[in-house]
Amino acid sequence: MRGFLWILPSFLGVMVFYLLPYADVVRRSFLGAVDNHFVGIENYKTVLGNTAFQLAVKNTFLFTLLCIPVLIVVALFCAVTLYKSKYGGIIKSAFLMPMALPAVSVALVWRLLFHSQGLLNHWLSDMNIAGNDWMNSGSAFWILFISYLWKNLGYDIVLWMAGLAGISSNIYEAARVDGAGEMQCFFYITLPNLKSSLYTITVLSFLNSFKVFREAYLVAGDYPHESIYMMQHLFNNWFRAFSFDKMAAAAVMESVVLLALIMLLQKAWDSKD
Amino acid sequence: MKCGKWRRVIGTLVAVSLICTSLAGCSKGGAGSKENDAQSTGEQAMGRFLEEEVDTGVKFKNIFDMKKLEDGSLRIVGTEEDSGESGVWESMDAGETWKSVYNLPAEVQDRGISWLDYAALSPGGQIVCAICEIVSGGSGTRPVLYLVDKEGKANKMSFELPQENPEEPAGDAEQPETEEGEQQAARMNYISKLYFPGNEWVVLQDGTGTVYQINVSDSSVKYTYELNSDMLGAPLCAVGNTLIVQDAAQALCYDLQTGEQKPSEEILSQSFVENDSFRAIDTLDGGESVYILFQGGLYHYKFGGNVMEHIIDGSINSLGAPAFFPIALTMIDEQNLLVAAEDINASSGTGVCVVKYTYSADTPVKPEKELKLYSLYENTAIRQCINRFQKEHPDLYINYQVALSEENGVTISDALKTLTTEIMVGNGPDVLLLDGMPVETYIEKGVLKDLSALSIESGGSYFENILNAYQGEDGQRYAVPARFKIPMMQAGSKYFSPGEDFNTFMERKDTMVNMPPREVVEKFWYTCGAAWQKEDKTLDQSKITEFLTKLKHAYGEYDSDVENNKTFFAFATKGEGTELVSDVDFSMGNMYLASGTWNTNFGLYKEMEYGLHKAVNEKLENGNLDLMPGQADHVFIPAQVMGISSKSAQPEMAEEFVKYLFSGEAQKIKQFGGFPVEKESFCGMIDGHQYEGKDGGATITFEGEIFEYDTVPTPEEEITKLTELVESLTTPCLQDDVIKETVVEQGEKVLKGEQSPEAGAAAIMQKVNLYLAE
Amino acid sequence: MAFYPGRMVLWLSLAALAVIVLYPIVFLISGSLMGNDELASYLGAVFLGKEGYAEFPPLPMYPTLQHYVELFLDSPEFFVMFWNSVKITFGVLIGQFLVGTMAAWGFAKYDFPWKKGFFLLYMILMLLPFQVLMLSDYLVLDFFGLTDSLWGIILPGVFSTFPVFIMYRFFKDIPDSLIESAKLDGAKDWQLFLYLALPIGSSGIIACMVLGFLEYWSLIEQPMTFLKDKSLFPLSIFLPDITSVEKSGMAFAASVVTFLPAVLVFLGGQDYLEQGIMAGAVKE
Repeated sequence: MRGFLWILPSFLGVMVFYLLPYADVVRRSFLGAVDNHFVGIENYKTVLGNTAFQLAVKNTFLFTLLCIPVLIVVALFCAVTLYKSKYGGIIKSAFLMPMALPAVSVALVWRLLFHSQGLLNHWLSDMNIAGNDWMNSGSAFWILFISYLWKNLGYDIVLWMAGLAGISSNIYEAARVDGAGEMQCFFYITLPNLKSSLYTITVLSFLNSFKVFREAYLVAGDYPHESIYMMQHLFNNWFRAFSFDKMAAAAVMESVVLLALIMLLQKAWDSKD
Repeated sequence: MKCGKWRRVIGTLVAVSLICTSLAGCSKGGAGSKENDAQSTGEQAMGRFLEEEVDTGVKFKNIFDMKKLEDGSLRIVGTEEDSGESGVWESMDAGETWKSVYNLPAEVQDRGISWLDYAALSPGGQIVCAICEIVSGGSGTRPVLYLVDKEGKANKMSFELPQENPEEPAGDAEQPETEEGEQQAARMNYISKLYFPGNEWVVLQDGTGTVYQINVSDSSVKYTYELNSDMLGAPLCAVGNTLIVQDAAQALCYDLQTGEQKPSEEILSQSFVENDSFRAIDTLDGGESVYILFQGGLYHYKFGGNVMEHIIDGSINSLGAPAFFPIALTMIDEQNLLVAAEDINASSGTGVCVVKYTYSADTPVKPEKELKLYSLYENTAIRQCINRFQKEHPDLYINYQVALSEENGVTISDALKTLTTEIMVGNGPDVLLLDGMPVETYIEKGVLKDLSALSIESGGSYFENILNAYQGEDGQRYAVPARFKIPMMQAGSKYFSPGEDFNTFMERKDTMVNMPPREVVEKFWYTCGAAWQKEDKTLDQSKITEFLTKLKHAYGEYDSDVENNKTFFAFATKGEGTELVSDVDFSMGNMYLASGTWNTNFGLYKEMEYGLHKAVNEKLENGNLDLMPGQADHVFIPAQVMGISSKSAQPEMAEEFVKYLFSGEAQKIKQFGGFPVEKESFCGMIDGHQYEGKDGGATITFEGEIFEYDTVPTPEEEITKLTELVESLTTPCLQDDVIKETVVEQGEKVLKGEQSPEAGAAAIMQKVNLYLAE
Repeated sequence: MAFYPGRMVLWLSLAALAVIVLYPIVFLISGSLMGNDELASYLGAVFLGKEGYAEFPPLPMYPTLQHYVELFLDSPEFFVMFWNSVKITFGVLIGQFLVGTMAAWGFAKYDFPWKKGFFLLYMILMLLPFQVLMLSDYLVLDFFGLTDSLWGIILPGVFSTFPVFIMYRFFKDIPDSLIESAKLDGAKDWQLFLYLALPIGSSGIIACMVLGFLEYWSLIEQPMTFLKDKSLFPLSIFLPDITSVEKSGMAFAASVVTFLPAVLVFLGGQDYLEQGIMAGAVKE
């Protein structure tokens, strides 16, 4: 019980600033928007049948499912290459830099780059390739994808390098003595030993995948191209239109999905251990 | 690794220093906010200056100066409206009654070849008049100074300004091309400000920004103060023995006795940075301390002191009104003062008024009641109304919040989000100015209160069709427009005939040459968008495709030159404040049509200039001005849409204020936001009564071409015609900024040929459907 | 390790990637040094709707500090915003240091009923997007009178569960044997925390603070929702209307000035960040 005393101050704050509001959200999910009468699970039904909600869920899932694995794999590749090399530190610092760039500044650059008369189209036209109105077509999704990679690559590289540092060099030496090549070392020693880092990296990458909304919002506003219309866009727009009923129901559903995801990850993690 | 170490050291140092300073900052901030709380929860403090417009009994067309003389009497130098004569008036009873003392001698009256530009009173009752005189040969003008003694005898002063060509001040570019404007451009050096602070010397600034201090006795220059030409527009005032100049970031003070610059006054500088330009200054103690008038109200400052005392809060009276421009401040004593000002809405009707402020010890410092009024955009008309309303209700403070301004960079979406939270928490505004807001959504979500019981109609005779723009099926009225605009079109019969439909108009070629595509789409959105919504609120894609196809057909090939020709105009009219004219306004196109650059002119019509329309029609072949064609017929644009929050804690007061906005008094207030919905005010606004009995003309200059027209009162039948036209309007335009933005954006691409009308319509549908699905 | 030509190619491509990654930063810095005329000619296509494409050389033709001068001398509100950012960021960090380390220590080295459940709760709250709780958060803050005050941003930040999650992993790494031996020497609970946990976990704590700095330095949603008084706005939401060319230079300069402290803190803390993240990620 003494342990609980340690987390008590934090927990009290969490109660007030997170749990209490969350309880309010749950309560609201069963009430009408402004008049506050009880409507049962009506809100949940409405939300599930809402096409905007379906689109947002689809996009958010697609984005997470695509981005996180790609980021993790690319970061692993970079980390293995940079690990223990002479100039690795400098390049790593370069990769980490975007993390320090405020979202507002990123949005400014993005706007200039991906505008239909922007820099990217300029370069493309120099190479005689037809340009595109990047933010207003399906490519918007890929721009968001790239900006997520761009911002988080450094972070994940560092995470992976940390994992690499944890592998004892004795194992490699022993394997070399047994005549293992570099590829074999990677697949049979490095990868299995990194499994333990995967969990943290996945959770943190997942957390960061929500933050990409900032850039999307700052560049494309409330109604971006439909391919990057995320849950947060929907929440924002519902909020503005006083649709708290729908918002609360969707929020509760989202947190249930999050819970399931974390449990799933933990399960996978435990079984691998 | 060495560089790694350095990085760490630097980083740590910076971090530590930031922590230290932020700790200091944090604790300070915390304490400060507590103090404020304590103040606000404290007892109701008493004592406030109350405002009252003085009935001088004189119809002033102009007031040059007003001063309290050494003998305690008050004097005004001004020009009387009817006779046009300038003279001096005096009050012996603290401004209650005024009587004429003498008319200024003939030398300084307006005489055709010269006119009175400035006049300043000394505490001894002498007057220095600055006359502007046309140089023989008419090549320009030059200023001449006269000293008028207390009995009204004029003596020419021998001072002459050096005749170097002054640099054009930056502000002049905005001046409309009136006759006076031309003459101003032609004269060489001129006087831009004139003060008579003591009895010995006059202080004036010339067109280069230089300030001269001239001995009255022998017209010799005592000192000159070299201010650079940027300071020409800077507020400047001479009071007591001090010359005060408001620089961008500081207060410059000069000693008139020695001609030396005084040590800087920190507190004064700071308040100059925080406030806008000062408007007038006066003193009660020979210049030891000064009373300074800002838009924020009246302040008192003792030189060398460390406090700037805020004596009158401008936000609860005329001092803060946008169209109130003080000319002179006269402190009678510490509890009474007069302000002479230009105010287009003054009850005198001449645009000039004298307002008295009297300290009342038993009135609370702040009005007890507060009504919150929220608007996305600045609206000067509503500011005027607030001022009037507060004057009638001294116990009420209307807290007018404008969400979007040029500086803060807040988007509409962010502003609406903040508004939502505030309304939900119960801190929201009582009254909403709904322009630009999703009115339909708010009505649907129950955010607005039903106003049908307010019986707005009792205030006069109204255009019911406009008032009922948002009327529900059962007669509920959640939002009511106080003004409106009409989409109108003017063109020769070759391009447009009155009453024709959208299809006919769009079949013609060359109707929209030289027009920027973005504005074209937006203007037609108003007359077409209203026809797109189906029963279930979704949009009809075939209508949108038709709209884009026909528009593109009529618009023809896009020529990128039109973007570069685009010019923006800001009209600055004396006493009316400045209001940027919107791109889609009808009035924006007058000069294009008059000069023949455009073949048609269409846009939102919100003020009538009959003489101009008549002249343009005459120039065009069989010119016509009528409703703009569109997919929907008889469209109008509701403006200054008023609503009351359903969560308002003080609905009665909110209702009273809203009702006031529809009263004849408030409706008559001149502004650029649209026609009033009250018929009498409407007629008053379009009848051109200001031109009654005067022969006058105006010119529009556009790309070197001059278009002249006579300013004439609107004939009776034209007033009736427009009134009937307004009565025929049935359809409010689709007021949804999200849809509008999407349509304009996609439509612009279609007109520029970047995408086909079908693709444009599909893109609009995709975005808008998402929006409607939410 | 042997030197392969393939490795060389790999290396070069990584270096090239790094350059691409850095491009936007170079872009901002060079933009901030261009005069208005230069910016107008390069970016006119985007801002002014002129024909053709925007272009942007890596270095300004006529470098000028004009926008920095404007920012520092002519915009007093910029300083106010800067200090607001500093107050928010350090307020949050100090609070997180006090509250978060304790909680992380509790989770890592003590047992109590429902511990797993609590930790799961912390993780979910960490992952919940801001928009979900926006309105309810506002209601709570309003109840405590914290809206339109920097405390309304700082306090929820202090109790964010993210640092607990990160630091938990560090404290978990401290070998139990070390704690046991300290206990045998008579160390009390709080002594263990102060003299054992904090020093050993310092790299993790610093890592956490650096991440926290980056997060709160560029906070957007919270200040936009909870603050109304413009004098309380932090730097992160200062972006002058860049649709006009005159202001875009300011925007570039403001971006660089905002970026600078973050980079300094970042460079200072980078080694710790790496060590810190390492410790957390490795042995679990």
